[in-house]
Amino acid sequence: MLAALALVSGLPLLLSCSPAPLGEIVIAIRTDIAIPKDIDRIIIDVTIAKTGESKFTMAYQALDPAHTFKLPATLAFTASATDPGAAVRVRVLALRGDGAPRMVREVVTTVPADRTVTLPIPIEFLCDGTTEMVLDPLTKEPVRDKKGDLVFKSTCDDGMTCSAGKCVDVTVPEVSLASYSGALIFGGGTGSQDGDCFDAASCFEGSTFADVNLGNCTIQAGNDVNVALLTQGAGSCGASGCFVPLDAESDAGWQPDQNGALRLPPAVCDKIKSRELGGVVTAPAGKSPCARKASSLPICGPFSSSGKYVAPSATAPIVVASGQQNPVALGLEETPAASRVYWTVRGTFDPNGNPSSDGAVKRAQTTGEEAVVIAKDQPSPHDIVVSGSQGVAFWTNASGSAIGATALGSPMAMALISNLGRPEGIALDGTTVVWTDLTSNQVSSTQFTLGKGGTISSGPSVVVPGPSPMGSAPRRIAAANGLVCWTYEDKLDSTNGVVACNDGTGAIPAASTVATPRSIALVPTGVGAGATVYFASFADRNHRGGVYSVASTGGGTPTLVNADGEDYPNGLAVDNGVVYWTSRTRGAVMRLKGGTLTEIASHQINPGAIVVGKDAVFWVNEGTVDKADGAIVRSAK
Amino acid sequence: MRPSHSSFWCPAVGLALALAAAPTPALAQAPAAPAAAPAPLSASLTGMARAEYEAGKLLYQDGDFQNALIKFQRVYELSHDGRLLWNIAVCEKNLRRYTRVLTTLDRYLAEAGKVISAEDRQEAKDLAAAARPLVSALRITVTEPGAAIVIDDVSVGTSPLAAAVSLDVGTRRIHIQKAGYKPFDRPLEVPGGTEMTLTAALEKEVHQGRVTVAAGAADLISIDGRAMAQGKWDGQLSSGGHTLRVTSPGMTIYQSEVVVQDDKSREIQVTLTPLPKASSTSKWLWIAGGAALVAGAVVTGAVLYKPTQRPAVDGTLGTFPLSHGGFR
Repeated sequence: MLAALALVSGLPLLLSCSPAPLGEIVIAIRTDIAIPKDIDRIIIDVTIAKTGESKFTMAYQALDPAHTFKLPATLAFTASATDPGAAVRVRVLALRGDGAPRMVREVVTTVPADRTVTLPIPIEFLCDGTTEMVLDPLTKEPVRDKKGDLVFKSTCDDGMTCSAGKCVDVTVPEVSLASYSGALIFGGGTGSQDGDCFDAASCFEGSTFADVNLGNCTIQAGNDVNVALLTQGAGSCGASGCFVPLDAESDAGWQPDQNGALRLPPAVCDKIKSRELGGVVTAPAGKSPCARKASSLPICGPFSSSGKYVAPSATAPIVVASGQQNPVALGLEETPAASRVYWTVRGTFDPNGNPSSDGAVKRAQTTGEEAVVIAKDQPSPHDIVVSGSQGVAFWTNASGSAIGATALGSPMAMALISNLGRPEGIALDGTTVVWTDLTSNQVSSTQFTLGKGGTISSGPSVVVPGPSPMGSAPRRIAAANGLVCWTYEDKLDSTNGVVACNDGTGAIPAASTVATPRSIALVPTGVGAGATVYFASFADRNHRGGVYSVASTGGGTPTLVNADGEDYPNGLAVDNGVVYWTSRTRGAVMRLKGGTLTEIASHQINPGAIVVGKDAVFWVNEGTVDKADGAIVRSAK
Repeated sequence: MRPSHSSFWCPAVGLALALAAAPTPALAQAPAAPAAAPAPLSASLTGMARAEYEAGKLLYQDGDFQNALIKFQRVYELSHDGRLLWNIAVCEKNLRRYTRVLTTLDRYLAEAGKVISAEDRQEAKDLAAAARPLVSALRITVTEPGAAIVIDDVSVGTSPLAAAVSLDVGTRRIHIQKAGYKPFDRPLEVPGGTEMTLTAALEKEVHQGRVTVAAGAADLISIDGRAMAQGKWDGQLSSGGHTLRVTSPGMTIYQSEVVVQDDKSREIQVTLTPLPKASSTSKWLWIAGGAALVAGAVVTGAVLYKPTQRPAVDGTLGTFPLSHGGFR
């Protein structure tokens, strides 16, 4: 009876008692780079830190509608009722393309019992490349998990993870986690496109280079600026470059120091020193699209869960790779398996103006990605030719007196021919490599063979006879169907230039007394080895500058393809009767199609070499000598 | 006088070759060879080799190039006379096997080069030049090593192939297979006279099917001991048997074996029923247990009921209780 009374008296207490609030941790995944260009897959893994017991594993793929994702994204876990104090390990792995790991971020923390907190997990550009494949210590073979997937780990030591480009402790005390606020993750919204976002490509379009003090990694700028890294392709790419914005007053971004300068993460300066970054740029912070970039403002993009993304015009030029110092020439690999653009970077010059041996050959997906160096420490590489079907690339190392070569499948730079003078232009016709040499004033050829393991060997070098009298300073060269044509540039402001051809039976002067002929392109006529030769006279249009065509068989008079001529046409390409060229001094890229002349790009910084692919045209912005403001740019054909 | 190929049989008829632009090989029985030339095959061959040679000639005259080829190959095996390779090459040409024509001619020039005339050599080179535009070199890249590569039912090796494969003009059937991966089958138009590349991206064979489980809104769905979702779960599972368990406080537990088949979908509707109430005969025994026990049960009950609460925040990728097995 007493028990019954006790029960009855306890009932009001029981009915009025609501359950305690549930502790919860909200993992907030965000990024400063672009999806799917830079990363297209993330794998989230949550385990109990002590036991390794898996609580959550999921892969999200940007290009798979069934598993796609937008960032920022949140993933919530409620506290365990049975083991509320157990530490959890959260691991986010970001990958790109064929499973290449880009970065991994790991955090060990506990889930609060009575509050909801945010655990930020940023996927950061500065941590790109800090992941490696786990290898079996005995066999050195890649380790795979039970599902057969490769296993990756951080390049940081055990117990450490990458944050803002440096290794930090994986442990994050629960007390340091801020209470959850969706607005601080989703730009004021909820993650359903209702918040704001930061359009980095637009904000930094008119940005200026900051003078970075590499000693203490600071820049002089006020607090009312936005700061971004000028990358070689990662991040938000627009008409003037690719940018990764730094969050204002953030540990992983910039912080004002007591001297009025802005302190950057040390990894930024490490990347500038290693020339992985083009530099740091600033733009005034103000209204959209250049509102002050804070960690609460996600970057815009088709992948963003915040803001209304407006895609740029399909015909607008877009930078594939920025931050290039003295890029020279480019070539394309377009096969069913690959679509990449390759280019040479001349590198820096010493105080006497002589080129250093820090040039490089790089490549990137034609749709953009962080550029990959496939040949480093090259002595002033100039022209390049790429054959996707044959899987090879060749370039001239002007200061190294050599022809460089690599297989495209597994890039490994090697010298195809050495002990030359100053090789300048290069072209490929089947397995025949032809090049010009400014020192010997000759054109030569050799046969190449691609062997096992990507080794490339050459046959003997053979001089391709030029016309008599011979021109001076052979520069660019083109070859097709056994016909080789090249330009004798002579000197600037000279009209002693010659366009020469050799079809294997002898040399022919296709055009003489030409004003500084430079770029050249061939369009076979289908009659024997004959071709129409297009060449660019690198001169003011009032002094015969322009793009001309002439028969390879000689005897004809060069004809201006555009009657008005052009100022210092620098690069030239012909595709199905459509002629493209760049004007170095006007900063313009031109297209002449069916008699209609169109300026497809303007405000380019010293545009030079140009090539045409299946769907797009690519050109080099040579930039200025002492800045990494050169770029590779793409535009619709 | 044409000593070329004079020492072996090359009928003129029946060699209206498919190569319109090709130079016609020296096919007729030529006059007697010069003094320095070796004896004609019809004279130099003896025994079985001679008999097979004559049979090959007859078959060729009848247009039976396939069997003529077999006979000439047999004669070559018996005699090791390199001159037979010309006959073999001509048969291959009639059978439109241009890749084999080229390899056979290479062998012919290498093995018989010293006993044939300059004109014979030139004729062989002309034939090779005519066949070459009808052959393409195909460089095959397979994303997985150790895959067997078969072209037109003929094995050409295992990936990675060290060199390009020569293919005859026409439609070739490429078949690449490796255990654990889906076979790669593709017809390939070979134009001839070109270098081609083919990249075969082998896809792993995935043995899985789709399962949709629909239960009550608060019911916890677990598969193979891992909590998957509350209310409804839709996802892929590996083929085979899986244990589905649906639970909810105060409700009977549902547990069943689910068999998933490759590429098949299964929909499972689960409706839990309330646990049966305690019988009236035991009611007073519970009450007699004392107030302290009841109070304790209330506290415990509150804890046990926590998972049925909605969490304060839902993640855009989902919300999961750490209390339950896990989500995979």
